[in-house]
Amino acid sequence: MLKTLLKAINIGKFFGKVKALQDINLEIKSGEVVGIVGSGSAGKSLLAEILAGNVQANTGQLLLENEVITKLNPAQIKRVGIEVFYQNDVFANNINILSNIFIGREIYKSFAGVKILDIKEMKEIATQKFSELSLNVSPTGTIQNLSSSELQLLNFSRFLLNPCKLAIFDEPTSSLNPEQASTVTSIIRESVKSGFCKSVLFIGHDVKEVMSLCDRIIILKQGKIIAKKNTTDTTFAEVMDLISGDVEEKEANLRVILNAIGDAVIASNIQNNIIRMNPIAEKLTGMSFDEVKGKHISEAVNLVDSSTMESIDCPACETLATGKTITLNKRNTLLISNNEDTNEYLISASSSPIFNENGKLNGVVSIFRDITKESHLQAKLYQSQKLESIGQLAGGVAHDFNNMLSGIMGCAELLKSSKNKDEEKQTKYIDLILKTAERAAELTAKLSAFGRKGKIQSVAIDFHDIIPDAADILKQTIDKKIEIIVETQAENSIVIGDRSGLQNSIMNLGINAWHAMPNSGSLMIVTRNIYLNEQYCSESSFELTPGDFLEISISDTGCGIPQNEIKNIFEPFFTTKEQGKGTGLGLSAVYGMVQDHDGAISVYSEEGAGTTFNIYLPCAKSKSIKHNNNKSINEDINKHTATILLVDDESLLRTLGKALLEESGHKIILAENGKEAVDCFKENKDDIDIIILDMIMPIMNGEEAFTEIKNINPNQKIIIASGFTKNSKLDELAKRGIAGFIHKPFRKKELNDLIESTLS
Amino acid sequence: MNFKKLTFVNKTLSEIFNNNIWLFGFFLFLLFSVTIDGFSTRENYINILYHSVFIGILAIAETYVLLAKRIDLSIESTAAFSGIITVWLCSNSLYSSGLKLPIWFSLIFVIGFGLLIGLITGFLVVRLKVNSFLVTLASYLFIRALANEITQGHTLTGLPSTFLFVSEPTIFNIPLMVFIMLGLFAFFEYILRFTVFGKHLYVLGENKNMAAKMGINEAKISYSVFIIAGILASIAGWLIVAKEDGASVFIAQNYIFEVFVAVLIGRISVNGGKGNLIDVLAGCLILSMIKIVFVIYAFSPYFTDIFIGILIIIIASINAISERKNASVFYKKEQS
Amino acid sequence: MNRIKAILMIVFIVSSLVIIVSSKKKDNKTPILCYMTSGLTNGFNIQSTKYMEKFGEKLGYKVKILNANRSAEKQIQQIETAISTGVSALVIKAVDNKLIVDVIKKAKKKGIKILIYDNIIDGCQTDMTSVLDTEKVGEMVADECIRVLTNKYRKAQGNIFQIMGDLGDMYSIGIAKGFNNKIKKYKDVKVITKDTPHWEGQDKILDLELNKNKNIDIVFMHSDSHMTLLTNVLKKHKYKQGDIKLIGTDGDPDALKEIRSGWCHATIGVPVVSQVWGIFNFLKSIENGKTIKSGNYLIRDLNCKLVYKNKSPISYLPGIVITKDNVDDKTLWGNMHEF
Repeated sequence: MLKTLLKAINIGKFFGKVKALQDINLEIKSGEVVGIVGSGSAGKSLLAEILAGNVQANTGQLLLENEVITKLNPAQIKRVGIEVFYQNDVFANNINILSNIFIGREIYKSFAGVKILDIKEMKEIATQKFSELSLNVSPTGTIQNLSSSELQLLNFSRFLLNPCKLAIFDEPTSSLNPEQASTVTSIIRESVKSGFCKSVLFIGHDVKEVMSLCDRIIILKQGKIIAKKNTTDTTFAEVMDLISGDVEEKEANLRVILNAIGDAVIASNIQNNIIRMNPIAEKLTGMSFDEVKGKHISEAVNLVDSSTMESIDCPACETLATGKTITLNKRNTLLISNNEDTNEYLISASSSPIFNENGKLNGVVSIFRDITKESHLQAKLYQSQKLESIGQLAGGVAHDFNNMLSGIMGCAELLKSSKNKDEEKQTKYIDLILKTAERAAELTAKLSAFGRKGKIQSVAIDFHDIIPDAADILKQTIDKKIEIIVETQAENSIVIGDRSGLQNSIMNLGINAWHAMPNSGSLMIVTRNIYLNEQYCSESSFELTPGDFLEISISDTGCGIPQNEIKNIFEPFFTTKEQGKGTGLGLSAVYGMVQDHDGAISVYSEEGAGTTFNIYLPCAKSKSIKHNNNKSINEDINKHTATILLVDDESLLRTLGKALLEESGHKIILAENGKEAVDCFKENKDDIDIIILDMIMPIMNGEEAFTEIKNINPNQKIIIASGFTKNSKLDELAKRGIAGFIHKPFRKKELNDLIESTLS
Repeated sequence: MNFKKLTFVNKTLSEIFNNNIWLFGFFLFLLFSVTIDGFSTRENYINILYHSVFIGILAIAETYVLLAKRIDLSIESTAAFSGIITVWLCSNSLYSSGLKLPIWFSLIFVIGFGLLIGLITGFLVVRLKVNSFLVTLASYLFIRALANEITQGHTLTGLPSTFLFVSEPTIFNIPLMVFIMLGLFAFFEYILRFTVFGKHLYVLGENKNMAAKMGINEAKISYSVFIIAGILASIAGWLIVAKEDGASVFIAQNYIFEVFVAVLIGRISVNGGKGNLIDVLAGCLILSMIKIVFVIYAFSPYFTDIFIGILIIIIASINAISERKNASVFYKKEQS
Repeated sequence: MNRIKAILMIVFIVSSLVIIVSSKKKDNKTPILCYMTSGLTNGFNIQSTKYMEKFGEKLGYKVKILNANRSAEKQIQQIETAISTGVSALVIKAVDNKLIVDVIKKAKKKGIKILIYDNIIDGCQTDMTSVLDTEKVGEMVADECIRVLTNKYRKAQGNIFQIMGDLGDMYSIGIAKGFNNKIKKYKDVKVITKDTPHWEGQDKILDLELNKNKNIDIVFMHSDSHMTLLTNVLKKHKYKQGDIKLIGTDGDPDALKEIRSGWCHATIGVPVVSQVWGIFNFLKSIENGKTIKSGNYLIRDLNCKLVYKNKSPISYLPGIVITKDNVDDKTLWGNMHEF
């Protein structure tokens, strides 16, 4: 049965209001080696002094060998056989080393009640002990000029002088080099083994050292004992965590920070099981932390692609696999909440790896940001910018339209005039009218496509289709003195993206170039393919994936951009134009568009020489879908004829349409509005092959008519005709099945092609 | 024992050799002998020793108290009281007690008195934690007054001839008292150097915290130094009257200043823990020489006091400066 | 540095030893005479010192003045040092005439001439003592008192109030002895005597007495240095000048002042110059080892009586009667303002 040597019950020590030690309960039995660790201000030295009787505790009791001692003093401690080796105040300057060592442990002979020092004996013993410690000092020397490590070893050498039951060491190795420290600890170990010193209380800083020496370890934190463990039951890491981890405090701090962040934060471990969630994450995922703690992240996070509605893997999975940071910010990621309402949040997500102290991957932090609003705002931004561009163009457009209408009107008048009744002239004028009208129609189509407020599509596009359209519009609208040159050198010009957006970007850059060249100049649009390597991509401020890129260069010979403004040009609302002449949204819209397309944009400019914008878009592998192109199919070959119901509220269009179609051999029925169309259909439903349906009509509009007709005959082929393009409506109708779509005004060829393809 | 004695002598000699104060003392001695008329007579050299007996013994007392970082201002008065009471008890003078007690009784009595004073002072300082300066300032005043009250201020003379056993003998013409003083110096220096008590005293004066940590009994040592001081002071007083065969109210007057001069020359620090008695002995002898020179030049007593006052300041300043600048300037490597 | 110190130390010690061993008594070209005064606070001492120096130098001595400042111990130490550093003659005004005995003996052993001033030392042999003949002074006062009373009452009758000093002071005892011896011959003259321990409170004593006794004719105070205090007491009791005669001894400036003002009748002054000369008059002979014969000598117009007591010659000098007539005599020590 091991004897308890020293016991502390509820020891507490205050200095005024400061609680230096609280609720200290510990027990040291004979034969134990106990260690105390803790950070600097934990109170270890103070505890040592209290146990040694040097400082009196305010509360609690100390027991020496199971006897309660009030007002413990160092003499009593000594009597019981407890030796204390302090950190401070252990040496006196005015006596030599030998005397210092032996203070309180003097070897003497009594002579008439006077204790006379046996200096010879003490010197011998000192010399021997010093050599055991490899301490190279002379016992008769002075302690001045000794290094702190020598002093510490000297203090330790006191331990070797007399056997004791318990030795209390207060940081005996703090100034020693590793070799000396290990000498000290091995001597302590040996002493305990040999019984020279029965038990040890070792207060230390170096946890490894303490753990290697002690059977038990007590962890002190800010005056309290936070843990008592057997050395065999715990690990170095655990102890370090307890000490310096400030586990609870850090926990609390972290929680506060996470709660304050406006994004959803989910931390998961190496198995991708959730170990931490903040309130925003709880809100977005619709699940509480307690519900999902320890479960796989996919149980809480449901991501889908907004366009395809397909499930997306949580980026955390990829991060765990690759150890890299993964981001999803294409505005096509939806987070579906798991709550009753199954809210959908448009999010941008990123997941970053967590590494432990050895550099090994330990877990993942996923962050989700609700960008729904942002997305809407972004779209509005684009739209308003587009409208602005349109506004810019409006002037030119109006002018052009005026020209064209004048041309048409002029020709018509000429035709009317009897002077021009010969067929040659008539043909000439009619051709002219048709050509002009065609041009106008093209322009209208382009403009309306341009103005369309639609969802951003991600389809394969041939950029070389976009450029001519953009160039045409530009030619029509900007200063005629500016020469527009297009060079499409790129072989692979297929990119994935949104046609309208990309076109808008080219338009924007073109308009800017135009503004930079108030006199004459040239605007060049050049494309080529380029390979962007890893280094370029990582250095770029855009998120690029190395590979083949399409470079689109738009350069002008204008006034250039001053160097100090170049870095600001992509900022929203940054403009160098006068007030009223531009809102400054153009380039920022381009920037955003390029970003959305996983591309990059750079600018190079020289004042007085010109400016070049380079857009880089990643090349796509798939073929593009050719958008209603005007090429191929011979206009006159007409394989089938059909009965067509033509519905339009405008009489001119009905006349024109009927004329065109009858020319191609089709039978035409006319209707003025939706209701008429439906009634007509009801009468002749078997006869009618195709219905050409206008959208905007009084009484009953196209949509309603469509519905009615489809209800009657779901398979009825209906072609929607519209001067506007409301894509969303079109999509809806498309879901219900349309045969095709045609722009107004009708082009004969287009119309015939469509009918042909519908019939076949 | 022989070996120890040898070491002691060896150590002492090395102290003297390495030490500045003795160097200065010998220098002064040579200087005076060569330049001052009347200084270099054998009687004078004996007088240098003879006149430092009482101050010397009191200096030992004060040294012990100062080493413990305390101060005792009352030793002069304890000496005065002892002297007066001795004559009062033993002499047949008109104003004496008439008891005509024997010489040994008076010695035991005054030693007992010194012990008692030491105990009381110790109690007040250690137990009640009154500042030792204040306690001994008061006892300085009232101990002498106590004696004067008993004698009503009269001068008492006429000690029995037994006292001649103490005052008369000379060895090589050097009075016995000188050897008593030297013996006391040797004895108390030995205690400081070679006993547990001495080491503990040094540690206590140097660093109270360390003393507490090492288990040194501060109370025991503090009591001890005051008791030692009291007993030594009584012995000094007893010897004074033995020499002068009587005592007046002015016995040992202003000795405390001379004691401090001697102690300061001996570089005892008032902050405790520094100094040894060998140097104090040099201080006493140097002071003695200076006093003799004053008589040779017939300086007025006022001038003497001015000089002694200034001397105290100068020496104290030198001590203070050298203490700050790391006292190892004076203490060489070999130090016990 | 240490080496230098060690070498110096050895050099010093060796030279010191050489000097100690070879120390010789120096032959003084001029003999040294030390006047050991007991203090230098009152006029008498200061004047004595002045004349000691003057006469000593006149006789070819180098004179050193050593002030023991009322400490017997200090005086003993000074004498010891003087002895050890070489002195031919010591003139001592003892602080304590009992404690001084041992050291005088030591000095005598060395052959130093011991001359005692203003004190009588019992217990050892001295070479010369020069003191005031206090008994004679007492007699002189008694004579003056009788004359005054006879003037007043046409016969020798009246009341005298005698204020003595400290009963341990030989000075006072001597005067009283002389006075009482003379006065007791006159049966009708009554003397009331009171002593003042430590010479303090003479005025209070008078005050008390005058409260009781309205018949005092003469107040005789042994020391006249506080004569003014007594006149104040008389004034307080509404006496006029001359109602009560004040007589003192010493010759203090204070008394002289009161004589001039008329309140003090007379005083017997100590003849400082003569007293000092009383030492030096015989010094040469003493140096030459001659024995001085006892008898009467004339020392500066004063009749000096030399007697032997315990083998030591003592010359007794009488005092000088000081009244209004000779109060301004320059040779009176009370008139020598240098303090």
